[in-house]
Amino acid sequence: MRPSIRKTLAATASAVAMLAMAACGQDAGPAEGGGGEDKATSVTFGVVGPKTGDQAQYGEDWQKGFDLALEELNAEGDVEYKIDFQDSQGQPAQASNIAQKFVSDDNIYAAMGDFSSATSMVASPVFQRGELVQLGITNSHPEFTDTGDYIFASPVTQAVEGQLQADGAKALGDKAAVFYLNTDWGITTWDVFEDRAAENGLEIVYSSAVEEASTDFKPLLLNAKNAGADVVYMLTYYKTTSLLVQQAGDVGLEAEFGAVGSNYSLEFLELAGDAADGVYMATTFFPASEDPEVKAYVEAFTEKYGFQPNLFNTYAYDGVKALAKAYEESDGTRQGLRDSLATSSELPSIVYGTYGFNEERRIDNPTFRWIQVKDGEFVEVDPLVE
Amino acid sequence: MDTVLAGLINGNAYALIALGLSLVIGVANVINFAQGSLFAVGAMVGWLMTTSLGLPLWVAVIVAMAVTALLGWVINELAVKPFAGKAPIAAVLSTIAMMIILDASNELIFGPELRPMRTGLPDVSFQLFGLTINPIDIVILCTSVVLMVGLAALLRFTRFGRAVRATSQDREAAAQMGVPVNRVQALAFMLASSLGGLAGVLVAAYFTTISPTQGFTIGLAGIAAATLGGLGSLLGAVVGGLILGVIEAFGVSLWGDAARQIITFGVLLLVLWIRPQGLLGAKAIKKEPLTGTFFAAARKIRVPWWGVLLLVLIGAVPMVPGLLDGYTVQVGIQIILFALAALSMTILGGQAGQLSLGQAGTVALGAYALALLTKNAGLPFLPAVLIAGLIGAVIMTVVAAPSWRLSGHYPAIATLATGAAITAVAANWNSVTGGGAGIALIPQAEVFGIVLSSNSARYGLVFVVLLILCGLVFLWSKSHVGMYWRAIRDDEVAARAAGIATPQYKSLAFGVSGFIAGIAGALWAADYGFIDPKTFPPMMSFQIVIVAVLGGMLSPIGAILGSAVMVGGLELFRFSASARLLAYGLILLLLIRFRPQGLWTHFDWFDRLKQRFGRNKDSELEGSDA
Repeated sequence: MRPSIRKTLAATASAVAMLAMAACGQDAGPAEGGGGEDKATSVTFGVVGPKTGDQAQYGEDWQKGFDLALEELNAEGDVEYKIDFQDSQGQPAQASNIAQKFVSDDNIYAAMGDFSSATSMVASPVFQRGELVQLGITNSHPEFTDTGDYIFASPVTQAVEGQLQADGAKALGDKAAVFYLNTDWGITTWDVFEDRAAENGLEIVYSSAVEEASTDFKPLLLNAKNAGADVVYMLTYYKTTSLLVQQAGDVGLEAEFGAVGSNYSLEFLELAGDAADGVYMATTFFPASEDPEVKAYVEAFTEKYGFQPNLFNTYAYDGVKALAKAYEESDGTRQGLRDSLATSSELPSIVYGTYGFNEERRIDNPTFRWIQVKDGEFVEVDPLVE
Repeated sequence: MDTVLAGLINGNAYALIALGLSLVIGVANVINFAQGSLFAVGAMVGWLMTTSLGLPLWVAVIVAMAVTALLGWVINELAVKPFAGKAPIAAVLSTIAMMIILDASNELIFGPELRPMRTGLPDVSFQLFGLTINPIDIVILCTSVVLMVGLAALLRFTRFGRAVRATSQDREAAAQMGVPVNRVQALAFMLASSLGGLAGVLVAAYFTTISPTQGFTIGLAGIAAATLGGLGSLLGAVVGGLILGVIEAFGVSLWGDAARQIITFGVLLLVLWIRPQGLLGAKAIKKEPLTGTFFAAARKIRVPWWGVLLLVLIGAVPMVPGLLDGYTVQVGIQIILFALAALSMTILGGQAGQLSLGQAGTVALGAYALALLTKNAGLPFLPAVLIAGLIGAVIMTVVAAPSWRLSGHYPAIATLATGAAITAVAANWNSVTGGGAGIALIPQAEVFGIVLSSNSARYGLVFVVLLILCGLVFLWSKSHVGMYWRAIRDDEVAARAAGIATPQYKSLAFGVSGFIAGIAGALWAADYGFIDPKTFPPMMSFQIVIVAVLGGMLSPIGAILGSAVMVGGLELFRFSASARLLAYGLILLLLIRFRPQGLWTHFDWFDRLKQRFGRNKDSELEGSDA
């Protein structure tokens, strides 16, 4: 009952405030002063994500990013930020339960997750109905934010990424074999890739969806080899990508290899071993960047964990920082946090640099860097695509 | 040719898993679902030895086999031995519990991330038909052949082997002839488990990447391979594994990786239909896992009319707007959705004595039907739900038809394969189901022009449907259909002799069950607003069985109670975060051990009769529970 009473109060309050502003004319500033003095000093963000199950490793990646961000925020400010990370096992049923739990919990000011867009989008209607912000930190499904105005996503859409990959593939060769995950993410990216290839003249000689749970890809790679592919593009996460490049060697498939940016991680190098050499990818986040903020982040992360951050660590870190910034700029309510998240142009990010959300509550075209694996390390190379 | 070779290499892995499974089935007549978990344990131990500690591969193999043999002993003690001579379904469920426990602990101990496996094998390889053959490929092939021959010799020529064979033929007789059946079974279990561990190390070395969560998928493929070859046949296990590997390689090469599951389970179904005992299996395994042993022993609890009224009133509480917070109502909806799925199981198991391990497939069918009908065809909600139920009924009946003549473990495996195949089709049929992308933005439930979007309205919808279906189930069980079903359940031969058309009534049971499951799925889809094949994983089929069995299959109330305990209970465990799954498995194990006939059944009565008639004559009891 309490949330609904509070909601009514909040609605009344904002209506009164708007009337007051209208009455006073233009000189009343933004609602900043409104509830400023009684803003909570302890703020919790809910996280719905996989801590067990097939995707558990990505949940662990997140946790590291969250922890570092919390450490930094709590060291500097007078607001104490916390994370309530609930395990969804990557399953939609769990995710919508957790979403409902967060909506009912007054201590939660905003939520992040789930890992996959499919699972997140089951939870989205719950968040939207409950008027609680859901920030998708790894969700690039093109329709992700369509559910409503409380749903945000920080990754670029696959429309942007798919086109870039297709152009990159064209720069590497003329006959492409493409492997894509049989998930909403993989299929959507592949659709964009295929459309773009039709425009830029890249011939696709072989393509196949691959399952996240599969481990044996030799029959597919043999097909790619027999089709005469001179470039192999992998729209897959690092687990699958590393198996693909290793088994490509086993079947004697000689070609240029490219993969989506999320493969940019030490785990990929470790899993793929020597087979990783030569693989190209485009990423918005490059730890060797000269940018001072990126440098400071990479140093802090490496000091805390003993290895360099990957993209998923960094998305998680950015997510907490963006929500904290939005809370700071708000009047201390859920509604206020949503509004400042939607309007702020000062959201901090390691991946993109300072940004703001657009009308669709997503991020406009950021700059990509191209990197390649050389002798077991990521090296920045000349961009394949201008 | 290169594809055949690639398939053989992959099929090796299946063969190794299938060997262990077949051995256990031979001795204990139990499908050990934990075999895949033992595989994962073996893989992780292998990783620890070779990659972490830098020891050679053979040391890793020995340690992994020792660890898994020990675990095999534990599994036998906790999950199989207590159920010897009782309904095999109990042992199957408790191995499923062990699977959950092992997978969860493995993940807790090692952490969930993928890791590379470095074997330290010499880096020599040669080319064959354009494929690179690595040392590990040879090692695996030799191992499975040597193991198969060795095991066959062991079983045929040694005292232990004779004891194993005697035990598997007739446990009671063997015991009376002085065979220490318990020790034989324990030893055989340890042997089979260590084979799982061995497979884990070798396959991990083959794929070079491992994670503690990969046991489940490989375990299912192993079951498919073992069935393909013929349950209980060692040669069959190896042949089945290799054939499955080659067929998969060709299918995947033709239709892509996403078709893999369709191929695996499609092949399995075809074999079961055409040659039910598998390629090389003997027609020896006769014991029905369910019929006549498990459910007749318990009696239904009668609930007076005021009790029913009270339950309905309690159940209706969340329908009062604003009384309970949204989270509680949401959990209530989850409980009812699962209860509906379990109710469909109740018809099959409690009434007709059939077991389905693929019920999630039927639920998925209903969900997809509703999504397509309301979103694409623009049909109103209520007719769409009804049609979804009918589709579930038709498909279940059609698919179940060839399974009638199966006996032993095979009907259960056929349903497992059917369920998995349905989800696999959903993952592949891109133009209709959206493939792996699923279907988003499914319209919300709308009844008589009112969109049910508030929490209490959404709860009200599923609650009313649950009441209606429970009422129908009650009426059916009172009617002659229910009586015939119970006759088939208690003694199929006698029922047939008494003039009951058993296949027709069995298929009616499957149809009714499919109808309920289809409706459950339809509500599921409308409530989620988004479905994809991963919404209905094979694990969900197990959960449905577990919920139904725990509640007790004799009454609809059992399904609701089971769902409240398992689904509601799971929510409580959320507080213990990553240890939650572990606790879930443990509770399951304990419940099966101490209350196998379910929570909602009489059991004093059962105990009295059990004492009088002895433990193995349960089937002679009259299950007068109407």
